[in-house]
Amino acid sequence: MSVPAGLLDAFAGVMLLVAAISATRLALSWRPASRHFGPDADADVSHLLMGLAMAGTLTARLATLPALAWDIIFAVLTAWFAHRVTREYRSGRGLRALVSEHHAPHLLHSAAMLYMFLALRPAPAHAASAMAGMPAAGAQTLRLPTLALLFAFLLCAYAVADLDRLPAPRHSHPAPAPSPALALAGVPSSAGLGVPAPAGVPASAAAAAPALLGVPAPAASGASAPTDASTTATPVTSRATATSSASPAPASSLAPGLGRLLSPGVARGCRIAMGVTMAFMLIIMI
Amino acid sequence: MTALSTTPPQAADASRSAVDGRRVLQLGLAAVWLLDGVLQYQSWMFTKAFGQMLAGAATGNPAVIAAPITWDAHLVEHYPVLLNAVFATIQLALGLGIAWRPTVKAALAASIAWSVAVWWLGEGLGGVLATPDSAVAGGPGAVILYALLAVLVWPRDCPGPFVAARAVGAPVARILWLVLWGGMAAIQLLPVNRAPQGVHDDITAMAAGEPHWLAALVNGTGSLTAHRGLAFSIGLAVVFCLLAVAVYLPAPIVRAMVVAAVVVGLLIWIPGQAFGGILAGGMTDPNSGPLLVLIALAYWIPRPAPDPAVPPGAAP
Repeated sequence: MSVPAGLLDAFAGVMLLVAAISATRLALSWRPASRHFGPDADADVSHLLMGLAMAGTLTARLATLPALAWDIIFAVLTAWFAHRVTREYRSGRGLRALVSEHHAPHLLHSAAMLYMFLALRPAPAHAASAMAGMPAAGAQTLRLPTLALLFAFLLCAYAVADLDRLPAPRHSHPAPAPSPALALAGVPSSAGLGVPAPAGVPASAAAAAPALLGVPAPAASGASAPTDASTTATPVTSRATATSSASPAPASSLAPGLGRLLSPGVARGCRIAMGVTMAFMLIIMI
Repeated sequence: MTALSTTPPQAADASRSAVDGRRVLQLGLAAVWLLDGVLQYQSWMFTKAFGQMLAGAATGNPAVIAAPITWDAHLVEHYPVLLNAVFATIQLALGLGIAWRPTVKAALAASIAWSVAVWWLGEGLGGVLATPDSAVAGGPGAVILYALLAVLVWPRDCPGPFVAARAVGAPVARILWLVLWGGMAAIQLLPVNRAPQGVHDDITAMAAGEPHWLAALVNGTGSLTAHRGLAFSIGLAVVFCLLAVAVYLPAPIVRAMVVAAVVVGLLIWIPGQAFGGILAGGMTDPNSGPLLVLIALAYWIPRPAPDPAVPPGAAP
């Protein structure tokens, strides 16, 4: 007997939800003036693609692309995030780049997905076949299972680290509407919303604004330095500074629900769901 | 190791950049629960065989202990899919709950209750009242170590030199350490575990189904102990006893004790338990090795910070 189909469908449903949220975040971060996406677009793209790939692997009828296409996609994503982590490492962060939440988790997720698709063993003949020629996850096994276990450990570790950074609910409830001054500075009306500032607002303005809300101000160099893992319990600050130099539509132009989708908490939530699901898939395919 | 400070929570709240050793250990426990939850979703657990395995834990136990185990095992045999999905989800929720700060206390409390329940109904109290597994095989039952760790990292602030002391006070923390390692020494010296092939069989049983490199490592380790069960058991018991009493010695020795306990935990876990047999499939947890390591780290005494007024190299 394999893993119950209902369970696989449930995980696949969560992955589709993550993909949908990531697609929406990507669309909301589009800046028509500069014809660019927001600074976190690479993470959202990777979440979107991983969500689709995992949903297809978990449930055969949701398969979209052939395995070779996913191999290429995740090889490119892994190379991209390895480049981003290397840059972060060289920018003075050193080994902290490997435990920060900026690029390292995405590198881990991309590498785990690449491994998963490369290591899939041909399924037994009796296993159900998928649209793209792959059986559902419960019927597959992986080569190099030690690597699968290592990835599963790391995914669990990063997932709990991400959860540790999630603020309490009282910090993440957005107020009805941001004040014009704070909205202009890209600061949400309550901690946790984290809607970025519009283009042209100096980083110092965005950095100073949180003090008005009674939350700690970010480091002065926060515009370029990634936020430390242990300093993100109040996510508003880092987000405001990190994206202040180039940012999407003003927060005030978004409906509260949509604006909230851009918060770091939502990105972390997606990452946690993805990490747990990926660990689940690796373990059941060992 | 130096990252394991004993910063009080108020200070940690004020500056999250300071690493709080207790929080690190809580997150370690959360990660292990998360892994347990994921392992519990393996396909084998959704079969009647899982219930039959649980029923085996009743063997040799007194009736008052065995009856609930048998009842629970029959229930799982009848509803394997539903109950296993519930078990796995509970363990996943424990991991997520400990990792999320607002729910840490509730999740730690639930973790203690769940661990005790599983230790009884799933592991037959680790066989303590029947035939205990050797320390190498995970005795006195891996899951009770989850409860112990949850107690030791409970968010409380008693004065004490190490993380575990902050939760329960230094005297109680030391007694718990003494009981843990002393108990493991006693279990190791039981006739079933000190038999000539006892340690050997415990170790080599883990090689089946493992990847080649790990099976070779486990079998190699097992061959070292073949027909030397008594000598190895006495040696292990001596090491465990030394670890047990070292917690009462001065700080430098306690630090050495923690390092030694971590090494022992890793040796038990990798060549002894083959990562808990996870790579062979069908295991519900990574066994006792990682828990022993996390518990040991809860006793680490941080070195005092150097006085900035004294220049480096200056005589005190």
